[in-house]
Amino acid sequence: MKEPNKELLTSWLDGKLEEDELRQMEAWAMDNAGDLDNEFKCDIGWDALNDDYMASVPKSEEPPYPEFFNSKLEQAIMAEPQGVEVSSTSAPVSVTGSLWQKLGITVMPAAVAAAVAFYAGMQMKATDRDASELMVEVIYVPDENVQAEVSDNLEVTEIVLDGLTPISDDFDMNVSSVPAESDAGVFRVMVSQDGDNVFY
Amino acid sequence: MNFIRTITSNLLRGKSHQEADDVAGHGGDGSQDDEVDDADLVRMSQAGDYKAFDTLVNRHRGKVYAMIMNMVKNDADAWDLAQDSFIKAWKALPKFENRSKFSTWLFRISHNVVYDWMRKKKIRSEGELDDELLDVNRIDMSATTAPKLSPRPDEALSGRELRKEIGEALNKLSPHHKETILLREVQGMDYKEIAEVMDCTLGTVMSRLFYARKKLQTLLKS
Repeated sequence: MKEPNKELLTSWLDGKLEEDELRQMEAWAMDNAGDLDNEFKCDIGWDALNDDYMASVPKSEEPPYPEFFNSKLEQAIMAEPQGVEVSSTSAPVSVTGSLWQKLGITVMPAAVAAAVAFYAGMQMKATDRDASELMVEVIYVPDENVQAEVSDNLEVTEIVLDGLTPISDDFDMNVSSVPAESDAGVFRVMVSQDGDNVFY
Repeated sequence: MNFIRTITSNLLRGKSHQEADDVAGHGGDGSQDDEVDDADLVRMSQAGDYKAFDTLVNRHRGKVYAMIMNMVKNDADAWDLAQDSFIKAWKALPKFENRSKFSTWLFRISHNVVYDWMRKKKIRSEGELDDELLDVNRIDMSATTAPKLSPRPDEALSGRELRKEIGEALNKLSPHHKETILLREVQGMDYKEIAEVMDCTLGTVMSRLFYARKKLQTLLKS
């Protein structure tokens, strides 16, 4: 095909060419796309400043937390039904492959047992929580020079902490109770500061 | 813990992992990653070697994210859509025949992901895709997912201004026009590759480029 005239080019750009014409035009354009594009740029007066504008747009930009991006991706891919079989199963038979099998035989029962035990543990823990509403959010490690005394009786367990710094108003301490079936009915914390006892 | 994980991982890794390490240079000089071409990494990934795929992700993550980011103008959405693109790429890898470049194929996938997302968003909003949605002036910059418009520190002031202006002008183009010009001018793809990514004829690519430039020119001059 010889160089198309303006009319043909316009029809092509407007998507108005039919089968044969379109095929011929596409084949010609495939070899001349660069020249054609330069011609179009000239037609509209596209200049160097416009190229500068486009060059200011980044070609590549790392997503925030790129390492997390990869690990999240791996996690998602491993959780998906796999389109590609992972190497542990698709790799050719090798020493490592047999190691997998050996490990599979020895580790699998233990892994299943551990999973069952873990699941059972989770269930028990959840039940306990439901029953007692016991929520331990923070484990408090006292500063130095804090004296702790614990007194226990049938009704109340008291822990007296002497020498603590003031607890700020925004410290959220939930009142918790132990299971109703338990011997102790109430859990209380008493904080002693400058001789004044405060019960929590 | 990482130490144990590393030892276990090394012990249990299959032959193809070792191959990926040898070829891609894992564990040695990280710069060797650049020496392995995509086709080899694709071949290893197709054999199920995730490490090889991870190298491909490292290599193309920035370009895919930047392209999506330029299309959707929201970093949180761009992050998720880039994830979707790579997940779909992994799942579709068995079908990839190396007839086109991996990067072109990957851009084709992200093109589909972005357009699916736009379609769903359009349906949800029960109206036309409103270019104003992407107008930077309408975005609360204090929002945690606000578009990243802050330039790199090494960018000159003029570069910053240029980018701001071009960003605003690009947002006024239709998604097809914007994508075509980004693929050509920013990603540097040739016309045939753009046609592959956007699944259209060369004429359509040239047409979109022509009209996108024309509109951009008008917008930038005004």
